[in-house]
Amino acid sequence: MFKRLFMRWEVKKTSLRGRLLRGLVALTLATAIWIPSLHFFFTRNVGDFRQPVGLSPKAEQLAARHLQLWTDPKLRERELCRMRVSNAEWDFMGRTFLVWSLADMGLRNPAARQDYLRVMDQIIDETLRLEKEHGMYFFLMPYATAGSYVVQPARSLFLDSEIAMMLASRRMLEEKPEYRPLLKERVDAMVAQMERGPILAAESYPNECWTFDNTAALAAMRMEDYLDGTDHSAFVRRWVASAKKNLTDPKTGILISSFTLSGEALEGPEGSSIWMVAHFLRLADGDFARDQYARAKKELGRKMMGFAWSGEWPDSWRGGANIDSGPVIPVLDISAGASGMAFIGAGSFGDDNYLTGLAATLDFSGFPSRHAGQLKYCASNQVGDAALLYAAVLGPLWERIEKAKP
Amino acid sequence: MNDTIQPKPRKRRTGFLSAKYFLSRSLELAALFLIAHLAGLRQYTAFLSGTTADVGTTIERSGVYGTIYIVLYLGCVVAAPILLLSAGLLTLWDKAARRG
Repeated sequence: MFKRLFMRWEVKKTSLRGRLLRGLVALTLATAIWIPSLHFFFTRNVGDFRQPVGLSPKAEQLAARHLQLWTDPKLRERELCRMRVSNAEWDFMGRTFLVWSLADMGLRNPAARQDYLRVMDQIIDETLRLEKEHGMYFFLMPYATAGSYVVQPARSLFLDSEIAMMLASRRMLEEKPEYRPLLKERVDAMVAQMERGPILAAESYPNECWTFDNTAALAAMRMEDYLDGTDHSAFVRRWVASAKKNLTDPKTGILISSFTLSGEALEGPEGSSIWMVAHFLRLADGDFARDQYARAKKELGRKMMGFAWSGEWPDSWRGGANIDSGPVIPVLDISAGASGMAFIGAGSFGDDNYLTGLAATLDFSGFPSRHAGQLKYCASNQVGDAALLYAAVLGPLWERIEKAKP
Repeated sequence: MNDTIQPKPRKRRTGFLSAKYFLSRSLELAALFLIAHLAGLRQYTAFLSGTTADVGTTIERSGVYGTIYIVLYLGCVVAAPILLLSAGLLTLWDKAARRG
């Protein structure tokens, strides 16, 4: 039978139509072989990205690049300028993700602790100085000045929550007495601002509250409880109850990403927000955090032929691409920003299968560039790479607090 | 002296969708990507994160160079291997048919 088939091909190949047909069949077969096999060239063992103890090869290489940025002022200036042209928030978040990463790295790799502490102090001190010299608007997007904050005096929970977490992370790695009153001042201010909001939420921008920042504030409170013996558990429980009632998208059960001070939704469930929110919530309410992660995975997690990514919006809430989502590739619904945050969710909740797929996609489409033991992703930027580093090393800080919880 | 005019050898053309055609296109795609890579266009893919390759470059220029790089990268990583496999499959069929 095969012999006759090949004979027929032989006859047909002399004619144009036959040749075209053979070519198209070969192309189709080759595509069917290659496309499902492509991920094998980019898939690594999960340990290449993240390890239960110590540092993975990728974490070491990403960290080497960031540590160089903070020891080479010219390089740092160039990187920060590159980001500030687009978004001043990224300059700030690049700092916070790196400080949180270094705290976890210090617990994973005590031999390098002093080097990490030096860089952490440098980042924290410079960030506080910039905030003091230029005011909170230095790290906010320009529209922050377009309106006035409902709760006065104006404060941005975006800055307060992440600065508080930086201070607490540093102190968890090694106590620094000068930072203790600074942490207390931030946490007290956050609680006061949130208490003044009708649904226990505080603004990051004028009449614009973000679940990301509010849950970061809860995490900072739990960190202060761990460090200084304060007790914010009642407030945290009230916040979670309020969020379940006021901030949950009825169709997906996922927390919405932004809302007005009175709780009116501005943006629905969003990939660039919920993965990190679930991670922060681990310190506030573990069961609720796991529930949010599972829902986010169901609604936003995507996997195909060995590659994984995250969408920005669930099917039930369509929104456009924005500064947080980055460009969204249609049809496949790939959001760069959401996929970056999905690494943190997958790392935090031990979802190695999803993490392996995400890492394969990153190596395929992130355009890694290695030089002298340092790794950066060309398609990313400093804040993106710092978030990836955090995903690769997070764990020890959260585990300490979770274990110490009453 | 030989004054007979030798006919110019005709340039051999690879038949459309033949094994040689696939092989040539595959090598061309790989070569184009290599050129773009060596020219340093990889840095411009930073536009995907909303940032420029460096402070002196506009986001528009980053977008153009970055898109060129991505198209050539996909050509090299996705399309070229498919063309190479197609060439291999056609060659195998030809051989099998000749034996048959």
